[in-house]
Amino acid sequence: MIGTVLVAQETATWGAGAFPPLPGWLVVLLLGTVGIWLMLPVRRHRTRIVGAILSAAAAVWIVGRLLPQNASLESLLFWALAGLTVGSAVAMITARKPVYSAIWFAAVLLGTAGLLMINGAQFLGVATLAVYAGAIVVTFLFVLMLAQPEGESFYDRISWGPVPAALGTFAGMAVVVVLSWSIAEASEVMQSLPGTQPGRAKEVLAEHHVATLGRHLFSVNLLAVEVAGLLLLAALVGAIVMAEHGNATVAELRAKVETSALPSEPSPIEPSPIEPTSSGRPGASHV
Amino acid sequence: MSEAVWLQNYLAVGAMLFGLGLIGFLVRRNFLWCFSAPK
Repeated sequence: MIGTVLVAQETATWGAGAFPPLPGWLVVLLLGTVGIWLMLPVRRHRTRIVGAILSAAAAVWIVGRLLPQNASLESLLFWALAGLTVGSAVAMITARKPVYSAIWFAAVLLGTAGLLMINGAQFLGVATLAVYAGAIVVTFLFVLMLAQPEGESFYDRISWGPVPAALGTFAGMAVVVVLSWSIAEASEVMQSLPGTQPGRAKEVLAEHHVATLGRHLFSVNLLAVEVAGLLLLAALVGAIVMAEHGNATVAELRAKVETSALPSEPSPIEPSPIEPTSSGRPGASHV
Repeated sequence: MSEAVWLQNYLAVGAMLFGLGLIGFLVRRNFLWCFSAPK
């Protein structure tokens, strides 16, 4: 039904066989791809600012196409939270250190929770914060601290090479541009659709949904909630102690290796270095 | 703001986050964040 309306609207707007103009969206695709590619950790830090400016320009252009003429304060609040979410997501995928990625991931969840709350889904927003930011991100930090206590490897701090990174960025930005373009083109059709039932929204926001759940959680299950929180806190402290201990162990081992590797007499089993010949090719005299 | 505009805005933000997740999945080398980005 909606698809039929969309097709009819498109045909009426652009005519049969014609397509909406694309140059602006192609420029945005190019800007976003180059911007995010420059921000990826395959380049030096100095290009990240240029990449951030290009990406922000692409995002502003897309939002400008989607923003209605009579933007209210409510919609400005929405776009502020959306900006926090999308900006943090960009920072998360372009951060050089995995720990920073975890922090930006928490910021993404914060923005998502805000978006859910202004849409009336308070429980979903709080649950997102509690489950994801409170448990999942902390678990990620556990893994990062315990798996590599000596610090992340260099390949964990960088992305794939410039060409694969550019192709991946282009694919992702193409998805963003195509979806945003479709949404912008279908805006008139969507506004002509009948709204949802207002009674349904009131029912979802009724007190017995969220307040009862919260009351139950913090009255009947208060002990379980507090024990779970305490357990997570203790685990976090334990992870920090183990990570510190791992750092000390690695430093001791490294010192031992360096001490034992001091210059001494060459070992009999150690192969003698091959001397370069007059032709410049090492080992050519043995041939 | 009408519900259609709300829906349009949420779809747009969702599209952006989806694309960024795809980029993170394709370009990151860290296994943990490679799979966390789509989330």
